[in-house]
Amino acid sequence: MSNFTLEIFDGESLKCSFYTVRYLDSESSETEQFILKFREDERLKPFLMELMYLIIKEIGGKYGARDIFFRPERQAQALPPKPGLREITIIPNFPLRLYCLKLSESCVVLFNGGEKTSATSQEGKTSMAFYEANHLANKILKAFQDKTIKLSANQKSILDYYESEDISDIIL
Amino acid sequence: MRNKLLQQLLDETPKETKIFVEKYADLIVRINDLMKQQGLSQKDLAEKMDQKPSAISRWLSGQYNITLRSIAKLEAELGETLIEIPKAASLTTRIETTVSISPVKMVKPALRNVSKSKPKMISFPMDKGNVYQQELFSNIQNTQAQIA
Repeated sequence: MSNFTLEIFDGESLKCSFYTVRYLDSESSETEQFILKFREDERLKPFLMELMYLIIKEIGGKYGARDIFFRPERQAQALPPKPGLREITIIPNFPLRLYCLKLSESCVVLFNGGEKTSATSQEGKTSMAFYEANHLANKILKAFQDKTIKLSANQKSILDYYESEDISDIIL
Repeated sequence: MRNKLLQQLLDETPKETKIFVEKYADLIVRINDLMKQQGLSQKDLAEKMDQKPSAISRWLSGQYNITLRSIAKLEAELGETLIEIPKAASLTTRIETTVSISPVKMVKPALRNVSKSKPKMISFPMDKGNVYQQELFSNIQNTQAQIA
């Protein structure tokens, strides 16, 4: 898999900022690809709108990234939950899965996702997005361990080693 | 800074969708906060409600719709209101407004007519008291002075 950079997806919300990932050889970020995938789909577009409204207005603007909005995936099953891949949830009977990495209640990295066609993320149409998101999440967590990147004091922004908010040139 | 594609999607989102998501998120957060306050786990709440813990988990994780009946059960067990419906506004709602009356504009044309015709008796509503009448007379006198 190619290298990628982190970029701000929404930095305007009061309670939580959202980042996404862009592969160096790709014109659109992972979350843009998720939107583009379902924006023209009449059946799934209303769900896409529900999900994005939940993320930006409710999580971002009102409540922050509380655990109630996230379902843990894979390694995050342990208690207390370790940072790891999660899926944004709570809207009833929801047919889409969007993967993310919750870094704090005020900072979340959004990845790509897919249509839920099986009981688990590892199978069906979400399988590829799931494995890719897992890989990205692990690389980002490793960059935190290496101190290549860190969270700001208010835990809302990702900073580089020198505490600059401009992380566009950090290749992970 | 917000992603342009995201902003476009938010701008296109129908009001109905926004209301649904807001209410659902508020409801789930409220249930969760009350459970925390009362030190209840999903298992405890399920036992109190004679439900399987998986049913509570499914409500809170969005796998099932929460029905009005389940909201009633939750309100009964948690002892708190989850949804409040505002009372309809009374049909006899009092409407209050302020009308500003300019004596010059109202009395000036009337005085012009008075000067052309025989004197007429002008009456004022008594329920407003003498002060109101005195003010009005004083305004009429001022207007007369302006006309003169």
